[in-house]
Amino acid sequence: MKTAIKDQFLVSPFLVFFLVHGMQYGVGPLSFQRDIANYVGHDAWIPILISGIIVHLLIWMMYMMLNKDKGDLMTIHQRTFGKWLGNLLSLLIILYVLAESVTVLRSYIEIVQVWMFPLLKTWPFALVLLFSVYYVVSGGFRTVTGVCFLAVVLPAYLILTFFVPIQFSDFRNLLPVFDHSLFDIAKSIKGAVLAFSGFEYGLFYYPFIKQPESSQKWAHLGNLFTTCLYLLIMIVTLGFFDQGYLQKVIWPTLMMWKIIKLPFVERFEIIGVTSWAVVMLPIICLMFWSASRGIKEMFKLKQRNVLAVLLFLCLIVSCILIDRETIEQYNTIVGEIGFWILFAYIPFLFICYHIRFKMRKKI
Amino acid sequence: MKKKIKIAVVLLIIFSSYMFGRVQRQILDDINMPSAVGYDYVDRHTFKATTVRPIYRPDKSVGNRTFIASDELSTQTFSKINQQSSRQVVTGKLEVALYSKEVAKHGIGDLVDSLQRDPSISERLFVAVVDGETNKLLKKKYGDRDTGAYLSMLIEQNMNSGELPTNNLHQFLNAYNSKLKDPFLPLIEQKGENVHLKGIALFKDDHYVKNLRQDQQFIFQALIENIKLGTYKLKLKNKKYAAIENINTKHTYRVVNLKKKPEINVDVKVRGIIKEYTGKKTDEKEIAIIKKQVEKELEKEATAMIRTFQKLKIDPIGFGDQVRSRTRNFRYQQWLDQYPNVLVRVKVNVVILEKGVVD
Amino acid sequence: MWFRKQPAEQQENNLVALINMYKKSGDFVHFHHPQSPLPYWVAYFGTLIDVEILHRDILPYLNKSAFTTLEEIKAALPFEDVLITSDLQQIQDQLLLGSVLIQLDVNDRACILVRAEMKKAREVTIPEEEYSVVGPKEAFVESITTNLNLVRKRLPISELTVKEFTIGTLSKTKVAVLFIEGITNEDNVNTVCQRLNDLQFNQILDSSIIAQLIADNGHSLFPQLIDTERSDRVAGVLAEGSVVILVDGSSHALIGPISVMGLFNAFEDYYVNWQMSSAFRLIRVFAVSFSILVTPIYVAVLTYHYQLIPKDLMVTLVSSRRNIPLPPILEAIILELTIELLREAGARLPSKVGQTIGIVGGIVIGTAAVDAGLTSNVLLIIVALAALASFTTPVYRMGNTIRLLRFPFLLLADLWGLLGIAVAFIFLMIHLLRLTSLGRPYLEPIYPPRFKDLKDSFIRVPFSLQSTRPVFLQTKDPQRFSKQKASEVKDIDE
Repeated sequence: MKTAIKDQFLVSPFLVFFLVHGMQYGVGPLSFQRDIANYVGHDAWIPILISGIIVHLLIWMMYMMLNKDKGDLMTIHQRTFGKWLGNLLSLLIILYVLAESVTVLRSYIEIVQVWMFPLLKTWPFALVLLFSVYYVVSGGFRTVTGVCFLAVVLPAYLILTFFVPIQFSDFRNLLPVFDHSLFDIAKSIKGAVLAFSGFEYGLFYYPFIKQPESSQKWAHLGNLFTTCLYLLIMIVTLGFFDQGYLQKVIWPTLMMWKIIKLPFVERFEIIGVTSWAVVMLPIICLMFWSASRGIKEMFKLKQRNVLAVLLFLCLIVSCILIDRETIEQYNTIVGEIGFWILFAYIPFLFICYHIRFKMRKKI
Repeated sequence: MKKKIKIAVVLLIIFSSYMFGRVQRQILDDINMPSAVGYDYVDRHTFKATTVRPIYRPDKSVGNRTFIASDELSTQTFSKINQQSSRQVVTGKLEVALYSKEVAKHGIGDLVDSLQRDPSISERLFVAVVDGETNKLLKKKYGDRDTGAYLSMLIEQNMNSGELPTNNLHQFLNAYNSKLKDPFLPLIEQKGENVHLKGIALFKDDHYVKNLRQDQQFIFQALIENIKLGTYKLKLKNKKYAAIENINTKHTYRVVNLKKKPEINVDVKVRGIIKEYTGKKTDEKEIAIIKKQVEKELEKEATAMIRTFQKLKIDPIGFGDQVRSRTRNFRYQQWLDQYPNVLVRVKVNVVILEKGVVD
Repeated sequence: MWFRKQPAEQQENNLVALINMYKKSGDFVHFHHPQSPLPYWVAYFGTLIDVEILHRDILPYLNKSAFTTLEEIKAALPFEDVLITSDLQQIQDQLLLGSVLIQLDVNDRACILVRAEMKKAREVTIPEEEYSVVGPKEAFVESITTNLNLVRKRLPISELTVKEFTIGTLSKTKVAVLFIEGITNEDNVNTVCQRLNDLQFNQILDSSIIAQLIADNGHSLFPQLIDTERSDRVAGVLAEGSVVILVDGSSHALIGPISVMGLFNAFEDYYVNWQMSSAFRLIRVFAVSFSILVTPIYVAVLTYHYQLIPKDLMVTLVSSRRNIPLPPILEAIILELTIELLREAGARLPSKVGQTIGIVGGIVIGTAAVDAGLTSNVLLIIVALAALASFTTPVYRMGNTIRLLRFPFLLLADLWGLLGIAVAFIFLMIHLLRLTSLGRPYLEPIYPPRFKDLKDSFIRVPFSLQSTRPVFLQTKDPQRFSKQKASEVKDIDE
């Protein structure tokens, strides 16, 4: 067992709700509708429901391991696969985390470039955002959690905006229910699960929670909230767009914001994109916190220095991705890896860990 | 030493974001914000675009200025207009996009693409077809506002008062991109000093095919949406007229025989108040006659209208969607083949709520 | 220091040397009294002591009878804190604080020290910075004894503890730390005492210097300790479990630890009923966000986001800006600076002239600028409203913070429009998240979220529901009063 984390750095268990929900609710909900509707059309809300349930199961598996181990992903890996192999696997996961952070950052900047400032250069904006990430992460896990919390609470008014398009929606579009084969639904789950990714960071921050066992219910509640929110967004989207139109639209959520008109603001999408800067910030922060923390644990380096190097790497990679096509390709690859890590690797680890545990008991 | 590095990094970030992070400014008084754009037909490949932009004078009155350019691509015409303008032309404040009938007949697909692709164009923009040249219509100034604002207020006002089914850019694009539905647009015309609504232009895919007669407009709208506030004028037999106002309608679709050949039954409930009647008295008997007459008239109009739709193979009302949402494993092709022969029955039920303060 | 080193070098008769050295100062009095029954020597700083005390309460007793020892003199003098000492350091300190030194012989090592310092202090007046219409109007003055007296009068309990420190190598300022034993968390008290002990500074002129020196983050714009001149506020927060620092020579007490919500609370809020005070607090929160954001939003929207403007507002905005030669950012910065100039000029001038400057400057410059076509009248209204809103904060320092915060927001709004404002907001949010006050999170009760503490933050619930002390102070006794008794509900007609 490693040295216990000091009490003053721990956070209360109910904040796990915000950590889980805040991590899931990122750039995904701006564009996930199309990937799902590709396969199942007007039934696209079903895969969301199913993936919500699957993710509940994965969270349960995660907590089963963590509660037994009282450590984090690194210690679980080391205990299950031995020091060398375990560290190697942890390193691969951290690499994936870094890759994912690039997708989040670059996707957001792309949205800004398409919807607000076509001439905005990637690197100065990324530099400023990553600097704010450094500012957060160097404040420690409490600050990261605080950003997560505020990023969920402050832009909560955006939820109301999803009700506005209802007056232009035709919910006949959702009928008939269950018009697609199970095979189609299974295919579309892949896109849906990715929108739910983010809960897996519990594997990193578990030791930083007071009475971590009691945080499990908050993790489940967080996921439940995400599921409900996604269902709302999906159902409104399906009512708002005709299937033929939805296939064409890259960011359906932003298109829905375009219809909103307030007495003092004639267009809402710009405010939406702006608010989204606050929504996606904690995701990058927690990703970098997890990555730098993992490397610190394994190689006994100073987290501050590791963080600076990682941020620099992220900056370079996100500047390399220039146009829509490369970003799309990159996102697909990372998404594919992410899907297998979430869907296959966590259960695999779960089984391995328990076999190992049983064996050790016998000896 | 470490502190110095930190300060240097922060300064570098501020400096570089200010030096290299600049984006194009669109300062409010240095841009040219067209509020309406109209497209006229030149030949098969080119069209002529007319834009109107408001001129805000320091005394708070609003003037008009028109620019004309022609090209194959919509954005190219904008850049050509830009060449004429002393200020940068931006599309974010467009309120109305007009197509002349001639352009609409040849297909507006390419022009619509620029409307749906440009993120700065509002989803609440109104699209309309003009009987005649849009250029002529836009050059004139109507009312105290600029032409774009005038037109959008005209259309919006008519949608709110139930003269037109609500149809903004989003709804138009939904129908335009749909496999089952066909879009329709309001048809406007310039007459003397004013612009007036002439009817509804029906499209097949992106081609204009026909316009709806004014007297069919009411039932057309009632079949599409639930009217909240409409009016209907009825000509009775002995040259009497009755005007029903504050109408709200409700439609219920029923589809039978889904498996083989669907049949569609529509019940339309019309509830309204008699506002004007040129007959002598409005007693129970007379009301019953008016009610019957309205029902018959509307049903007749509906059947005739739907027949025309079926002949033209267009579906602006969305019968296809009604059937699709009730059918498992819906086959698009099969439905499209069946459509011209599908039986649609419209049944109207009129309730006269009040008849004013006198009998 | 020069005067301390010399006696250390000359061990012999150092008291004589000390007196001789002090004699260099013109206001030092040293005389011999040969006529009295027993001759004695007296020495004091004429400017530090109250001569009346000397002539009324000291010299008559000395002249009455013949003393042979210092103890006899001590017994005869009608003072309770008469000191007999030969400690040179103590003699030095006491003399400089206003004691009278009495010796039987000039070459004696030992002497008597009688406190007779002149107590000149302002009368207790009404608070100026934190004026309130309702409630007590009693403000601290520059004397720590008077201030302590004001506090003790409101809290006549034995648990009110005062810990004294002397800080400042030159100023030797008396600093008192007040807390209530059994309520206040000891960690908070220890943090304050620790920081005061570690202080290395030569001169403490005011409590605000202490506030800057012991702040958790010295680079932050935000005040991390509230300073107040109201004795009722001090008594109130002491009862809640805060720590209060009083500094001699300063009419402001420091309160800590605080949270950001404390900056929106006027103490007057407790004197009006809860609905009103809640409304006022919400107005203040709105005013502060409005004040920070409205000019940047104007700049952002006019520079980048013309689409956002409703078409009916467009006429007003464009026609008001038609003849303005400057881009919105320069226009805004110039106007903001003008307002700051007016405020600064008003603050430097005597109060009557200051007011005139404010009104004349505001109206004349404003109208003239619009007429000359240098600024748009819309922006003028916005900037004036923003300035007005920044003055609604009950804590004066917070108003300054807000006005300064606007400038980075403005610059970022000019760079990236609304997105720039979001970036600035993100940095502000992170900064507030990282900030602590005496080691306690500053953004409490927002983060860490403590729903119990919301009862006295954005809104103030009635007193009957405030039966517990704020959680963030981590008090030893969280109960303020028995909740059951307060919330007992009687039946109808009972």
